[in-house]
Amino acid sequence: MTSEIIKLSISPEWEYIRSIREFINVFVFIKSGNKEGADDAAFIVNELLENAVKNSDNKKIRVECRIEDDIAEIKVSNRINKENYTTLKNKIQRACTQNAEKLYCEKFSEESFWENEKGAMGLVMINERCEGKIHINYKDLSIIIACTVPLKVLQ
Amino acid sequence: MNISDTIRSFNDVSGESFTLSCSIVDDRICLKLAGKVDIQNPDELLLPALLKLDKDFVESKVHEIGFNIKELEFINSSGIKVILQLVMGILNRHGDQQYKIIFYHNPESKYQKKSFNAISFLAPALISFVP
Repeated sequence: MTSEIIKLSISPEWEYIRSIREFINVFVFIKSGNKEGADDAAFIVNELLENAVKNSDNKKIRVECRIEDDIAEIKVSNRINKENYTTLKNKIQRACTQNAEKLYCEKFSEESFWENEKGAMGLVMINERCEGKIHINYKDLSIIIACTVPLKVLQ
Repeated sequence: MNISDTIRSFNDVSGESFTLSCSIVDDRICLKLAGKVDIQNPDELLLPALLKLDKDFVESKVHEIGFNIKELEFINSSGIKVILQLVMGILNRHGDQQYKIIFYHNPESKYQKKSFNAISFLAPALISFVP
């Protein structure tokens, strides 16, 4: 399968999220023929965009979807201060270290999960879909989160 | 007011692109969530309605309900968290105040079952999924 890539740069508007999610879903499905993989990619881009819109500080959000061989890579970046980056990085690293069932049980027993912890559920669900392949970087004052979804090539 | 009257008087909850309804199907109470739950704060719309129904179910000693998600096209993690809060509430009560939830999903949609994985992990004895 040849490599294909989509890049978008958007204002942090909630109204864009659904359109981008559905576009990525169709794009991955057309390219791979894999409905489950397309749904996973769409869910991941949705969750990452929701977090980016909430934390973007009115700056542009960049979205990238690359399909190559048997993977779809979803990358979302937005401006964030270094302190928030470190907090988020720690959360993601924690979400990537255990299997989904263990993480769910652990999360549900935390009082903060039900009271005020934003985004924890989304991270756990993303982790389950990309099998722990979440990478996080900080560059040019922006956080870049990249998730890789395995695709079984059907066509 | 008995549970049938409560359900008959239940007003559907409609978000921008989803609906939560409650009815009696084949003598069983059945919630139905359909559409796309992708608004920013689904808890503001869904949670009060679910908690009100939950209270009525407990008072009426309901033992089992259905939850139809066959027409649920998308639900974000905030939406899943709302359903989890309902299930946590049931789990944290004494056994005689608990009820089972049977989720009816579309077997063609792996997405649905995957999204509700967290809920089945949380309460395998109370939650089941059937096509």
